[in-house]
Amino acid sequence: MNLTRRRLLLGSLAAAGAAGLTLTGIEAQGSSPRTPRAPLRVLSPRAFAALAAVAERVVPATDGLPTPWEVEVPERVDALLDAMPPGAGAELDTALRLLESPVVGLVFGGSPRPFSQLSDDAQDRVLDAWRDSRFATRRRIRKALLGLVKSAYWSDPRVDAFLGYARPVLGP
Amino acid sequence: MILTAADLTSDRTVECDVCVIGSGAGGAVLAAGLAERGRRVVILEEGGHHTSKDFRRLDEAWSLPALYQERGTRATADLGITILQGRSVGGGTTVNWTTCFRTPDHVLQHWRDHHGLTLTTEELAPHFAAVEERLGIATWDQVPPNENNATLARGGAALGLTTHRTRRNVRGCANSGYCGFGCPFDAKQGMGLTCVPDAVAAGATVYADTRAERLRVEGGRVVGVEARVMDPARDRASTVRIEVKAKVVAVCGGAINSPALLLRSGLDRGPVGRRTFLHPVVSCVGLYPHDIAGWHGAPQSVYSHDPLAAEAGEIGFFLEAAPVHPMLASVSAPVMGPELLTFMQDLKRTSSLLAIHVDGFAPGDDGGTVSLRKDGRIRVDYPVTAQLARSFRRSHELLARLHLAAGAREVYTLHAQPLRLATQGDLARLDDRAYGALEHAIFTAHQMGGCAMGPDPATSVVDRDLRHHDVENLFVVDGSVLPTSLGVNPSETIYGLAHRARDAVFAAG
Repeated sequence: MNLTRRRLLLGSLAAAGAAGLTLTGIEAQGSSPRTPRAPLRVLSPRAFAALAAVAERVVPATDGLPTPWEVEVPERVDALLDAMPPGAGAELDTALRLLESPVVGLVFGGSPRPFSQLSDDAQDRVLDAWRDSRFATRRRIRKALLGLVKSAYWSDPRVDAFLGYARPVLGP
Repeated sequence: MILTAADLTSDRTVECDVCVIGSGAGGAVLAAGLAERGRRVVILEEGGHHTSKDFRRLDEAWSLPALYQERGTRATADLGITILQGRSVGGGTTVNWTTCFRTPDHVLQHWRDHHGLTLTTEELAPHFAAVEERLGIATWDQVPPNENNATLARGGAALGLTTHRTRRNVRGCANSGYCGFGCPFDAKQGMGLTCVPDAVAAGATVYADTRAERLRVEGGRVVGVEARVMDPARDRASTVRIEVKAKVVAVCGGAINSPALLLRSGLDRGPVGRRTFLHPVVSCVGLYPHDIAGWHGAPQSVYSHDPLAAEAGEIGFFLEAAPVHPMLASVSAPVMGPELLTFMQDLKRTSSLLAIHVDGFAPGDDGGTVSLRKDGRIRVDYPVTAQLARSFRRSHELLARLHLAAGAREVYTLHAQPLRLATQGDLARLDDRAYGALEHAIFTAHQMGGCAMGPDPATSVVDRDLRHHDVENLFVVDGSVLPTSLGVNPSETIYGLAHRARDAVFAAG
């Protein structure tokens, strides 16, 4: 059987979703997921919450830097996806909803909660497990997420001072 | 005249002698030559029209989406290789790092020996001379290399490698370091500043923000080009259609878009989209005790071709430097969390050297493929073979040795779990990591092949004059016609081949 990436993603999502329903009863309340500050163009609210949580693990809070939330990383990624072929945005939304499923939290993070409601350590465990996964699909998803988050974050001029990045001052 | 989406608000049919699809290194040189000889030329360019007024933003967040394919996110299907490929009026020449080489003699010899392609150095020489004159291509040694390139020269000297200064297509370079964002000083002699204006001055019309969707072929001839005006804000085709009726069509969209256009048009006979070569790039970064500021200064001014002489049957590579701007650097490092913060805080002391792998020459090295997904999007597959992975291992070691010899206090590999190497004795630890797709960062800035030129329709798509084997008024004039990669930066080869193709295209029209 020729198992395509999309089919694998969708299959995993369906399985995770079904299992998630059965786990609802034991799911503890975690921290509140991030909610969009403006209407989303491509991502679903669940995917947005997962992306916001990923961004805060990729660039953890530190002195001298704005947080990814302050830089509006999730909204920037959503806007970028809106300017790409529809299939690309749909694939990323699917991947993020997969990441947000409680089954993923249980299997890789040790707690049956959505990714956005896991502790920082558990979120790191999930992302580390996907980095080291023998399944290329998980490594691909992690790579795509990190790339989008980092592109949106490190291109913001507010990080220049932290980097010592000096842009020439040009006239109009 | 250059028209953009703002001008193209209703359907129209355009008639001309030659329709050139793409305004980069191939299309612009060709279009200028034809317009100057009196041909009525229409250029279709999917990207937008931007000038140095836009480039003065010096902003990666604007330039990557605006000036690169797929908003800067193009990659192989497995996401193993990031594909940096320009897209705007001027094509890749708007954002390339200006390094120019003529096609090496040994490459032409290989094409004669293995691909039946009879191009010679002597035949191409006048075409290279002409584009070098127009584009100001010359050795760039008026000022010292920036520190990022100096590490290559210094490390190379310590290891006994020969390094040289690059030739660049610049006039009055301000040494700012922002070539990859579009030159803010109009110093880079890219197509948007040279051959596109030449073509327009001679009467050509450029339709920017206009995607060629399909060639209409009837009775062995192209009878029309179906195009759609793009919505630049969302980078999607609008409902506005442009139909071009031309006596001759030249496809110049580059090594990924050109084969895709032929496939969308049903021109799939022969090896269309096969033997796609990417010059796969790996990098090791050196962390130095002093400031490098690798974002400042000409991005590439030093190179070494010594490692090209690979062991028999293996894949060789050559060495250059890469500019170190925050966004691209952060994406290059596959790390996150505190390790990413440390990496970024060290950025000003970071030098990035590249090993660029020369694909398409070793036996069994057939590169990758371009195909179409079910939804019409382009798909690029490029398997990293065991042969290429071995080469990656070798090039990682040489890059690490170079940095350490140049004075780096530490070398950092771009693996998913990076290695930090502080001494020559640490180099054996490179065996602790795997090499290949998704194991470490791999990039391409040079896309070649997919519509190879050659005498045999079974193994090539166009002939030595770049005319399609089956469609008499169709030419392909860009990097897709290369039968292998080049082992050098490809822009000047494409300029030269396009300059040479002008006669055949003119005669056909």
